[in-house]
Amino acid sequence: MFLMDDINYLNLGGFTINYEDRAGLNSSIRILKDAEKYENVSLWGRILGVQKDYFIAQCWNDDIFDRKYFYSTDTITWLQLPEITEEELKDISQIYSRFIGDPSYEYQLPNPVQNNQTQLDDENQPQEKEPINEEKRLSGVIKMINYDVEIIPRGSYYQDRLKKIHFNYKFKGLSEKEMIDLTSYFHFRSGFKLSLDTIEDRIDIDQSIDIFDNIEKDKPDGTWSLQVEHGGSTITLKSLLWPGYFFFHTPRTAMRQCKFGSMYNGYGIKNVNLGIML
Amino acid sequence: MSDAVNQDETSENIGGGEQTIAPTDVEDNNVPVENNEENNVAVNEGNTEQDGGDKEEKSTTNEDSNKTSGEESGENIENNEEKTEGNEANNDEEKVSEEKTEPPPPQEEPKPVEENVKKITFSIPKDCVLTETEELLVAKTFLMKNSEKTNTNTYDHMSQIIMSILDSKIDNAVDIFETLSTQVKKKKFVPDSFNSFGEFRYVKETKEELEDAHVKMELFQVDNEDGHADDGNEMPDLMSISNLFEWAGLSLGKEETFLINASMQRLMTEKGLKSMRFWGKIYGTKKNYYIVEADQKDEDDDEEVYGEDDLPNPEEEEEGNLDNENDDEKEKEKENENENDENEVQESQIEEPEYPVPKIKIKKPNTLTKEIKTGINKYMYYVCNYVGGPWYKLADVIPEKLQISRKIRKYFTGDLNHEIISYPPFEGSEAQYLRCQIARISAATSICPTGYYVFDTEDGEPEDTEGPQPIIVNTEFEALSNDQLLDLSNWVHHVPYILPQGKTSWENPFGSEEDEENEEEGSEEEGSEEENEAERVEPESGPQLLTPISQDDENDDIPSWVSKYCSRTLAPQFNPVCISSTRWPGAHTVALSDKFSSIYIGDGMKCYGNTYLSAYHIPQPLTNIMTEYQENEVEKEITEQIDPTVEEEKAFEEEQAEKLREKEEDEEGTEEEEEEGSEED
Repeated sequence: MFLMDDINYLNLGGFTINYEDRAGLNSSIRILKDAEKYENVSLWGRILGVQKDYFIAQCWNDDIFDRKYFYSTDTITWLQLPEITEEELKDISQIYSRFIGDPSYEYQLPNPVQNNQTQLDDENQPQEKEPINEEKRLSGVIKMINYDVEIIPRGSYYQDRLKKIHFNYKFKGLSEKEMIDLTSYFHFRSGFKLSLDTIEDRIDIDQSIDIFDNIEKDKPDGTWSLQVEHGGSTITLKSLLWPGYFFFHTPRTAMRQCKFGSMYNGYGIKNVNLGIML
Repeated sequence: MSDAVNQDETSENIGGGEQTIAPTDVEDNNVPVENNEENNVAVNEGNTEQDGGDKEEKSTTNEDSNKTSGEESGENIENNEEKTEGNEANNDEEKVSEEKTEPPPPQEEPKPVEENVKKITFSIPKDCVLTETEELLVAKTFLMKNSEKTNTNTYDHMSQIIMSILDSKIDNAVDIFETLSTQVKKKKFVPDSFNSFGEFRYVKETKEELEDAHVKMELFQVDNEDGHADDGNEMPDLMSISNLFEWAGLSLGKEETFLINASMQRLMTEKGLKSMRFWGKIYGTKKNYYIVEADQKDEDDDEEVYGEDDLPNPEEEEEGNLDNENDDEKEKEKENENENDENEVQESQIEEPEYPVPKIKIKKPNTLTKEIKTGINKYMYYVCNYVGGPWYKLADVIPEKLQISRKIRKYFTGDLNHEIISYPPFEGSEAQYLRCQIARISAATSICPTGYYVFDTEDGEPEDTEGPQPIIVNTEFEALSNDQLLDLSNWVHHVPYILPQGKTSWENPFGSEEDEENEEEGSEEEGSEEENEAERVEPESGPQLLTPISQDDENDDIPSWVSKYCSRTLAPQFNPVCISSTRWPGAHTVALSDKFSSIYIGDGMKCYGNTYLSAYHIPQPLTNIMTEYQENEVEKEITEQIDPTVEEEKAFEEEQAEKLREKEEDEEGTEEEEEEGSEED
């Protein structure tokens, strides 16, 4: 998620949103928010298809982890993405082809070795899986990307006594040392339980800030490409697991506002070869 | 601190000398604030008289107190001794008189003087008599002695205090005298001054951000000096092209693009390059590469480039300079460049030994000759890690390395000297790998509208010769309309196809029939493996130059090229067309009427495939593990033997040599040559 004002930071990732799309998005997202009666809305990213690209917007109310996603191929009309089941998600993770750009395009799922086993078990089971259309795949891919790589800097969100998570409006940005340390970036996903079992765990822990997993433990090592730009004033983080996920952060200085944000701009394909590529 | 000590001491002296009179004295000094010297002189006289009276009575006690005050009194004596020596004293006098004329107002003098006069008179032996003025001077010099710690002296300090009292006109300043003294001292505290007590030094900002800013400032300076010399240098207008790319959703940022442009101009004038273009940006895991493509220079200039010492990274330059075979060794032995050079020569000589060496059964293909200034190495490539940073020249492509680069898949790190560890082994630095990928991307994705280039023949048609034909820019080229540009059949490749061999023109690898690798990239060469005759290898061939991109093989089930309008609403004549490669994600060409440009922004990796299976990069399987030789029935003659010892070998060699000599004696001349020839093979 990122603010439309911060588009210039996306240049560090080598991409941008052209003026037509910017103009379209700025208006249409505002209308979307109003029409769907959400309190918050932001652009999530763009998934590049062969024929058309999908812009993805997200809307949420109180709970930031309960987000609804909308897609648009023309930045004007927005359609809600369907919810998907766990099983569908599993199937979606088996698709490695490019998005086409047609929401109704159907992917025939491979019927791999599994089928043979089921045949042995129960011959009556239908072997043909239901094809998955691109709309569903989009939904699944977003879910996977959010879980795997969506990140925020430490301190930008906090948890109150009631365990509710809020955006930290006083967030000034990470310090110079923290900026280049992967432990200061958190996976932005719910369901993290702080372990305070040992004293060692408790040393640097602030229970209102350390509310997510940090990305330093991500495997394989080097799955994040952290780079310092603008002579140290800005950092960018690119996920190599999901090429296209781009995160930037610049702390507040005399010259700049504190900014952070992320956008996905890619093909929506997970890098399955990451292990050998590092 | 020392000032405080001094003060204490003077007060002690006052106490010791004249317990009753001292307070009145001070009052006397303070009360006639605006009076002038007359008063003071009178006070002085009074004091000295009293001193004289007290002297004898309290001499013993004072001597004691002098002893206890230790060092100070010792210094006094020294001072006095110095003063007694005629000339020096005069000199001092002059000094003091000079100083007298300066700031310290006359009123302030008396108090310190009177105190010290006492002190001095006590410590001086009785028979040594000084005049009053002399005593005054002696005292003053002492008071003006700077403290070692704070570089101030009592005299100045006292005069400042009195000045402040006079300025502020405080009543009963004596009650807050200590406070005044502290205040004056505090004012003197300058944190910046060197060695000042408890100073805070201003630390200069050493942030990288500042350095970066300085680097970028340099780009501006050079530009201004050169005055944009137009000596036929060709460089596309990057700024206007970047507008087109922005329409396609590609951008490095306007600001950065401008700086890249400035940096390129600088590189161009520095290296004397004829033409160049911004090739693209490859993202690495730690740093990124900005890549510039430049025309090869004329031969005359060549040596200059390689020999230049002021290049930022001599290793990289050297790499281009030397033979290609031992590049990785070179990387390791960078320290002595010149020696390296010699080593290289020696090693390459060793490769064709004059004596017979045991032959390895697997035939190695002869090293393919590197294409120089043509084909794959038609252009030079400069890379830099950050905008404004030094440009490093990449060495030419080595065909063998290119073959391997097709089989491996490694992220770039951003460090040109990083060693590529892969299977099959690349055996080279990242610079070479980068150069290979650039060559592959260029060959696959450099496209232009049809008709922009024509074959360099009379009728503009290709001749029936092997290898890529020379092409030239068509002077009569008419820009295509945007609708036409949208049609993929109106776009052609203008960079020669790289054969599986790793070259653009086929070279017969003599005697290496089996080792030609068939590539997944549509190698037409098949069946040659069956014919085991060296001279009969079928030449590889690829698509001709200037074949339309619509004829490219499909990338699994999606076309290998996609074209679309960048905008949905703009009128067609203003609407840029973007052609993207699906095979090399990140390679785009944007065109608007007569303008077109290609760029690559990505991680330098090819899209392997679109299906479930092909998405996975399957590395080349490992070769079979060699089995131990086992004796069998079929080959009974072959048995294992113990290796001969050195002595046995020598004896054998001598025997052979003798036989040879006998032969030579028998048959002279021609036979010899033949033998040598056979050995060399």
